[in-house]
Amino acid sequence: MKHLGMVCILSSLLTLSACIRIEVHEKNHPDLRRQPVDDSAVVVGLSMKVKALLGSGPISGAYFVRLEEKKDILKQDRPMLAIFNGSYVYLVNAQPGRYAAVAVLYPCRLFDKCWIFPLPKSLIEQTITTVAPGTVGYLGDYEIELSGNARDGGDDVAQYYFHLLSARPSVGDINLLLALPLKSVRDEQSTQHFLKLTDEKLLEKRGVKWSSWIQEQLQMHY
Amino acid sequence: MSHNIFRIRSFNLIGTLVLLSTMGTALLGCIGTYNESPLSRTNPLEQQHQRTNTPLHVYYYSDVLRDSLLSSDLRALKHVFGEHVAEQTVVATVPPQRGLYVHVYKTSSPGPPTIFYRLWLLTVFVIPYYRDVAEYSFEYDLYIDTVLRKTYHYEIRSRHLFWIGALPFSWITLLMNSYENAREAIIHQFIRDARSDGFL
Repeated sequence: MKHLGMVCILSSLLTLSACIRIEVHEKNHPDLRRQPVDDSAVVVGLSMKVKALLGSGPISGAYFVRLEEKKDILKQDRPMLAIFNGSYVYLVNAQPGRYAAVAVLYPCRLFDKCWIFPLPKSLIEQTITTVAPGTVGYLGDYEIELSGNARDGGDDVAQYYFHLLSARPSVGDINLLLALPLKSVRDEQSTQHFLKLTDEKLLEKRGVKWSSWIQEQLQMHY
Repeated sequence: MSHNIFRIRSFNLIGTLVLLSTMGTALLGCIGTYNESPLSRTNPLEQQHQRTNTPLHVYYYSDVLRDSLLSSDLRALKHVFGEHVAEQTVVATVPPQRGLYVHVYKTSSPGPPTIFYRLWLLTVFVIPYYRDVAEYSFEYDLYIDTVLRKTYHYEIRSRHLFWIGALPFSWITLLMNSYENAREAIIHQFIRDARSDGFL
């Protein structure tokens, strides 16, 4: 009996040592999820809800692209995953430039099943925002609903991101569905709300240059 | 009667141990290896090149959720560049007006769960599940004086066997090429490629 227990423990330890990699977060490293890596680093955020049968739910992530010079500027090759934090999804320590949201993730369910909605061209264009070095960019507040399978329809930009994201599913199983925009808001009030919550919840008022920039913006409008 | 109870208690204890260890390890029970081409172990970077004393600026993005800018990938980049390319490596979001700038874009593509993966889960890891995928891809953009000179593509393939029967042999993973080795080999390969193109 004892031997069996020993074998069990030994095999557990062997497997744990072989398969688990613990990433030690070094104490003296600043928390770069909240602090800029350099003077130019930016934060980009967006809020979006998906209308479902039982009300609206927030997205769990979004794919942003940095709009670099290209023949078709909306069709970029490198979507970047922005993660949900509080009421918004964020890309932190990104490069300054023009950004747009091209697809959103709906919460993952059993067996890693996720829903990805490539956004229609018209909505992508609405989200385009220029983020100056060292600042915080807001792409807006939106609500969408499911309008069909992306495989069968959608404009050329939605189709482009459908194929791009299908080829590299980094979030498990994906179902690509077309999004139909219902509501979009990006006024002074929603921007201020975004900035306030970003400083409080995401940066926890420790965002150094970002936090002071946000405070300046908020004071300018009081 | 008391003998029977003792037996049942012993069985419970051993049973619990077996169950716990099996469950815990089966979830992770794997034999895996990571490969790129060529392997750094057999093809280390030659040392004869002088390091530049002007700082090398790097930017790193990863879509792997657990990664941050301070991920081990960035630390590895800084370490290898510091050893072989420049005396100082600086994280920068924009290319400097003068000098080298390397932008690294990493994506993971474990692939969608297959029918075999679902069977492996549904049968509580009894049916073996083998996976061989290009799990990570890396794109290295090399800028000189803010001008993009070339983009280099690399990928890391992973091969894993997930099976409860592989448990006793899971230590083999320790002898296999790890992700860290594969990643370092790719950084070395990038430096080698950039040098052969005359950029470094």
